[in-house]
Amino acid sequence: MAKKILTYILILIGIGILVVSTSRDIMGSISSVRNDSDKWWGAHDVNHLGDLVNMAYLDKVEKFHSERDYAFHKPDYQGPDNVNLYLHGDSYTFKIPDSAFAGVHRYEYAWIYNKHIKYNLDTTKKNILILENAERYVREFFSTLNLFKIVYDSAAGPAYTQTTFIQPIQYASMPFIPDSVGAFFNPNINQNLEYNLFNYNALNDPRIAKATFNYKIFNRASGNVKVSENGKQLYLKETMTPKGIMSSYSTVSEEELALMINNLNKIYDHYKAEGFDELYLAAIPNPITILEPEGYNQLIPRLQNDPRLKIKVIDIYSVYKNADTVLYRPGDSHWYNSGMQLWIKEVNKELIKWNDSTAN
Amino acid sequence: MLLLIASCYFYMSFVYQYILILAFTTIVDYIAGILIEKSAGRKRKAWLIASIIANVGVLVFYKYFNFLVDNINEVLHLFDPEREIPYLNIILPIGLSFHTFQAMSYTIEVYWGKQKAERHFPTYALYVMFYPQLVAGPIERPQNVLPQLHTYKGYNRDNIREGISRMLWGYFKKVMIADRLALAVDPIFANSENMSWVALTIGAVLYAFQIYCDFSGYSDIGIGAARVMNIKLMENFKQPYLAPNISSFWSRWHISLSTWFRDYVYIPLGGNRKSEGRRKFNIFTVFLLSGFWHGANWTFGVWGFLHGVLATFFPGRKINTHQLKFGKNVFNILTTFILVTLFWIFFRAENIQHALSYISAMFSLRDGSYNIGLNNAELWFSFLLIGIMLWREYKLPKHFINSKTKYIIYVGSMVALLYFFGVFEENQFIYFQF
Repeated sequence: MAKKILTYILILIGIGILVVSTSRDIMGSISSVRNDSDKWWGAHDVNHLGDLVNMAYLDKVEKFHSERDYAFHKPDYQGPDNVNLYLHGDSYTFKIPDSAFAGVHRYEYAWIYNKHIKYNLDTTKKNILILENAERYVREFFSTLNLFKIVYDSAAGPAYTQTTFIQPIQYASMPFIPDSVGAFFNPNINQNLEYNLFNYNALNDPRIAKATFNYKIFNRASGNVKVSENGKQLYLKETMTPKGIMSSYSTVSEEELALMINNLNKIYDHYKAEGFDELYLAAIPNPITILEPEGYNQLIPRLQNDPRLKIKVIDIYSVYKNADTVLYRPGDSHWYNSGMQLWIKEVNKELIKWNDSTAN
Repeated sequence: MLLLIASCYFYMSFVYQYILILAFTTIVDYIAGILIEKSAGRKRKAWLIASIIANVGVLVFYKYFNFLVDNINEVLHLFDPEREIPYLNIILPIGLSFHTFQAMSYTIEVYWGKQKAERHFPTYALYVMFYPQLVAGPIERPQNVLPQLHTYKGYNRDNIREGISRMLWGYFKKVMIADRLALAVDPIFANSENMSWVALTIGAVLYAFQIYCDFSGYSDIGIGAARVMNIKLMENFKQPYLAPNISSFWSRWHISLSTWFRDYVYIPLGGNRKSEGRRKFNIFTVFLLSGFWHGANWTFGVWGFLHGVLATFFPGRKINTHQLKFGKNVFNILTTFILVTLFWIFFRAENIQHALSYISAMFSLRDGSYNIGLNNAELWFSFLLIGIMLWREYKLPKHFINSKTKYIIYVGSMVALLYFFGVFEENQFIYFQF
């Protein structure tokens, strides 16, 4: 009898963990609580040393550690502030304050992953929209289905349909099964289970020991992180694989390039119709694109320099290629302050141009 | 019923909509089985054909449609470069080939009168959807599994122990060896045009062991998981790389598939009961079909073709492991291994051109990159693990450990080893794609 009860308890615990790991809402609540919690129950978090250091548990390998050194300076600009800047960006730019931009009257930031936001544009100002996107997401956004949301969910503007943007369907759609069934099958179930079962600070030591051993003996990082050939930099694995849309080395066909340009042009037309004066694409190169360019698929230059592209470009790729400073943090997938300052400088050049145009 | 629900959930975790495909073929075959049993003569045959068309139709649609369109378009382009048939944007439902073959074995066995039609639908559905072997085999037979489901007696302590140690061995092969070797194999094949002949040779040899440890590792996990639930599945591998000829290799590699082709294709085609020429034709057909079973790509066709040529003209005599004398057979074992390894290059390559350039570069003895993704320490460590794996499977093929203390030590040390030395890179099992 006792055995039977124990069996049922174990089954219930298993189902409970599965349900918790499947639910997006419950996982959201758990992670928000656990991120703040103590040295036993909290999740591994040395993100301040580098997100890749954190992912690979390389807490003991100091050569990859670096603190975030972002400093935001007021630009040296005395002109008018006749530009409203709208920035749809990602983790590269979300912490940049409005004070870093030149001549900006109003500044609004939104995650590029968000669905479309309908702005009430102040037409007495110049309204500029920048789409900032890390290179590793450029193909996912502009050649597959994600970005279509921006237009599809829009109440106003040209009536683009889902099929205007949608590209390869991952599987044949099926009748009879409502979409709500998908709630029971979370695509991140593996990560969530790992988070709930194993990702506790109390269990960190063996994982750090394993990661350190792998690095010291086999010269590799565990998980989704790779060590550069010269051993000085960590890279996100997806950005350096021979295949995969996040990689700097996977082939981008002419067909796919045309599709991206087509989609970007549709986005451009849409926002222009909404009243924006100009749109800019700002693709931030993957660290490996700049640091190990041999074999690079030339995604950014091909996209930026294509004459069919209507959207304007903040060309940080060329700036980075010619820069003589260290641009990226060694154990992180993001830039150093120096890299960020170069980007802000390029944005400000455009903003000043727009402000100057209003003064004339 | 609980197992059936668990199996459905397991399958739906990949792409939940695709459960409808399995539901369709399951219902069709369940009804077809009953109708076949009830009918006689031409009607009986008609129901079997209907069932086979439904199964093969689904498989062809999802797996081969774009491949066929691709080849038709190649021909159309010869006449008109603008003309082409549109492709379908679909991905193959995981494990569809395994499911289809297992389902077909049921209706064929019922047709032959060797298996009673299953009346209890959940039991039949569980037979074709039993999750430990649903997505990558072994491809089971109704005579083995259905009686076990009918006389199911619940858990058994010895079987749980044996199942767990078998699963651990499967994990050892998967995360300690296969996924470690993948760290080298993937970059070598991806950059083969720049690699030195040494790197390419290492890549080919490592791939041979990667695919073995990956696939047989999955079989071990599946068989072990079923064993924990007191279900005994058929064996799928018996040290294939110790085979001294191609005949022996195929009696040890993916046994459930090779016996499937033997029982349902080779023998119905006439087997060895007709002329020698016909026998050779039958063998060759089986290998060609087996190649395309793996995937809709000419590389698999060539792989099957090469094995077919060898099996047809230089089969050798089947030798069981316990009959094998190393000293006497070492040359034959090595020759067979080298040939099989060369053939695997076609299996792994992107296309035939890739495979041919890989092989020619290997034999050109050219210089080039040696950036194989593993440093020397890890490469030697990998060879050590391969050696341990081969030795253990040859010397200690059983997984049941009688002594409780030894069992606890074994499980504890395996878990610790897997944790500390395992490579957890979220690599899918290679055979999931089939």
